[in-house]
Amino acid sequence: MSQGGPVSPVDGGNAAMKGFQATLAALSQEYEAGLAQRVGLAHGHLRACQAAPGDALPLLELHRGMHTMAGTAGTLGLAQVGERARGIEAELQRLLLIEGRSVQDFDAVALMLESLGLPLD
Amino acid sequence: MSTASLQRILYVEDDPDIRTIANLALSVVGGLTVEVCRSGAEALARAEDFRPDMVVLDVMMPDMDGPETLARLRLLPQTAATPAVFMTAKVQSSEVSHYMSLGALGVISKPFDPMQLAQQLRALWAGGAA
Repeated sequence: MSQGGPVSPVDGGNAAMKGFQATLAALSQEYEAGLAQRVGLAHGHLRACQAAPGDALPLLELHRGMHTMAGTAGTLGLAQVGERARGIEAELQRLLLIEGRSVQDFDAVALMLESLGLPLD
Repeated sequence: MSTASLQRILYVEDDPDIRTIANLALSVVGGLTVEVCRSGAEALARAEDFRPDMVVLDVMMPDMDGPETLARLRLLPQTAATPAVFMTAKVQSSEVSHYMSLGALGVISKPFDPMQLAQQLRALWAGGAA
């Protein structure tokens, strides 16, 4: 459990705020460094989707991963990653509603996942 | 709802990075007392002892999602009427309406600004008390 008074210069709030900002920056750097691994995991889910296009489970797993990435990356200040993940999430949402999905239905997702791993601007 | 100030937050989120950021944002920036839970089941186990002023729930979690967690918290005497806020990236108007129909006091969108999070919760709290 975390407890503390409101941030205030008189009670060491400045130091606490600096610590908070440093933690945020460190988390952001760590997340960016681990992005390739997260994208690799997503590619694994995509391969499972392509192997069994009608199976909703790998599609739901990939969707959940992109949903989480969209929220987390954006909150960590990695807006571009968050937006790319959000786009993939939207496409996966569309695919979830398609009955009789084919492997070709995942072509756009494959391309979008490639862009997710590209260097950030 | 009490007119007392907001102090104690039961926060439920499965993503470790978001948990860390939100916990720091609420405790360090907001000066709130935060009980952090990794799952709905953990929240149910801790809620009665912690006695939160407000419950803040991620919507999309494995095993037990935010709405189901809230429904189960409502069955516990200590949290039967505790104000609840959902945090989610799904914030289209129909989705927000759905969360509000479940009894939520409000919805905070992801991504969120860590510097503003406590302030957003206090605004919802104040609005709910009005």
